[in-house]
Amino acid sequence: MGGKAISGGAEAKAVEVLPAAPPEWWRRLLAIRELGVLIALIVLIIIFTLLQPAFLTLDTFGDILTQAAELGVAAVGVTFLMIAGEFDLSVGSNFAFAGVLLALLVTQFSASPFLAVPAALLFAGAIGLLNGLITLATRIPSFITTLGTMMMWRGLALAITGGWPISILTASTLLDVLGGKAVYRTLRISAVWLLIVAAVFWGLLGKTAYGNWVFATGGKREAARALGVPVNRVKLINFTLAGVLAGAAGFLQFGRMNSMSPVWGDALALEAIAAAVIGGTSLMGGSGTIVGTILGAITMASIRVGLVMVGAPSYWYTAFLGVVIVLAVILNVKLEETFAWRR
Amino acid sequence: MKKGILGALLTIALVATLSYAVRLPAAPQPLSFFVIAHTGPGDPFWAVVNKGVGDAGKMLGVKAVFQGPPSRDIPAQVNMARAAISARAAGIAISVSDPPAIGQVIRDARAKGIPVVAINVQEPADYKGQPIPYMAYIGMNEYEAGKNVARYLLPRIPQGAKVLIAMHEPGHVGLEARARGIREVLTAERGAKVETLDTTQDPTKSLSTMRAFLKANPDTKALFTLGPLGAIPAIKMIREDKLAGKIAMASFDMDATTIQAIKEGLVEATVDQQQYLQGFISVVQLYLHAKYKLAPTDYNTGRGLVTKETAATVESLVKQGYR
Repeated sequence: MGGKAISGGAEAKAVEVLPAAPPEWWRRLLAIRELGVLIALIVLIIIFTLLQPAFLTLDTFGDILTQAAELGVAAVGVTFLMIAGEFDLSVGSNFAFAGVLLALLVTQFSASPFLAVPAALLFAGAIGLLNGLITLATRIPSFITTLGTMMMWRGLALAITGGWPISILTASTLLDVLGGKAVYRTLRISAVWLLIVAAVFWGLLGKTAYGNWVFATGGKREAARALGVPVNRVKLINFTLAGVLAGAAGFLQFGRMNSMSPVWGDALALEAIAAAVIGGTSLMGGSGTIVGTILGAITMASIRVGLVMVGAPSYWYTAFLGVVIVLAVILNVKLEETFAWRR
Repeated sequence: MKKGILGALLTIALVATLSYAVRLPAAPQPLSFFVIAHTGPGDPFWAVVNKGVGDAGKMLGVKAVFQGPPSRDIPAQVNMARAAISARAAGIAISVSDPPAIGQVIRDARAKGIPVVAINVQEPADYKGQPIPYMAYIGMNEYEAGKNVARYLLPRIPQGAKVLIAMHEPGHVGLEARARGIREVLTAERGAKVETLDTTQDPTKSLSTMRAFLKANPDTKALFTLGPLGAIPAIKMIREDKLAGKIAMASFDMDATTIQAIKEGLVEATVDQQQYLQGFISVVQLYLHAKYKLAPTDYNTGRGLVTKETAATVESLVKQGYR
């Protein structure tokens, strides 16, 4: 306000008389893209803790992280793909199919886990790659391609299992490593996997040239092409990564439950998109962050656990979750509009 | 000239196709029976029904098809039933998962002369809508089974105790009836505080919601799950948190994990509703009706509980997919 009128030697004085100028730390805070989801999460934690002090304990947080781990790992892949401007609705089916494939390999075919895990992950990646190839070759929207492959892989998972969950009822190192083992009290090893995946993809997106290509691919495509970004190759790689991570998430659930059912991961695709969007990823492509998505997944898990702990009427959870998703996205959009300079 | 020949050929082809199509329905077709459920063979429970249907079809030498959506989906079930009507089924067995929606389909089928029996879930006793004209019910009485299993656990439940019911498909009339049976017995006999929790079908979510509940309500004395999708995570939790002996658990239906847990003493009992019979007997009854006009009769497949004593015997049959 009127800042421009003051010039030259009056600068020192201006700082003094114009408190309206935002301090540096405030500007920096607002520049954090994950601010919206962070506010939402903190508010929720405060509310839940006020209503039920037992909410704010390590045990509860361990449980929330474990629940967020499977969703989070899949959501990181979905976020990468969404930033590049594409969707994958088939991640839930890939999750089930890859999990079932791994379970079959180690039970029915007694394959060594050192072979079975990479083989099943490779297959999950191939499922993702196939989505990409179909989408790019035929130019149909990935929303539709993956809607179709979603049904196809779910159906195949049902068909090869006959609908039965595949269970390992004895102690298994493989399952312990994947997700069964407790690291600290209720904190499971799956949460550690989430951290590793998040760190790797955070680095890939933020610190490498490839990360810039991903943003460019989802942003202004023509501009990206002009700059020499191999748009199609970036998309194919991201489809493949989304597939690999969806499969990996399935492995975590298999490890967690000692069983893999072909029906699990049913709601995963939409929940992964929800986690990404709560975390500030744009549905239009071109923007998004990995940390935001992880926080989004943690927010969703916190809501479920928190509502139970405060004794909310059980059948209202899903409705409440829906309201929070919409509110969080509104908060994100408003922050984005108000502080447009932080782009 | 060429055009004329082409036109003539096309006309012949068209007439031939049409006459064939018109004649088609009159040709004798093998009897086909459809068993249509609100959930498909993806649920371990329904996989057994699927086997019963298939075995009956093979034995009788008829076409017997089991259909159901991947997860509970009433509109999809209705569509499958409509397709079965269009396919001129010789008989339909259907789960009355949603009385108004399924009731209408059953009325339409009967109006077209197709015999219909209900399996697995029947019209609720207090249903106020138009009566649903299925000819017989082949399945378990969910409400009675809930009361039965609750009575079995009574010795483990003190006066005024808190009890948790894990509901993995809210709104499912069969599961709600099971829960109602449990709730009524426990409130009447023990003055228990019974809470029903929406745990979802996702096992990880289910486990952490149950654990959160127990944390907020550490005085909970008993846990009821309503099927394997609830039991798998609940058993996992009992193992991890060493709750055996502290919380009495009972469940419905059987799968390898539940049976194993009963053998180990982590779970007291599970209700066996012998769902193989729901698939097998419904096809047999519909076949007998189609062949000899024998009227389908009610058939109670619910039969007591599987406990530590009987668990080993049924285990091998579970593995073979019959129980």
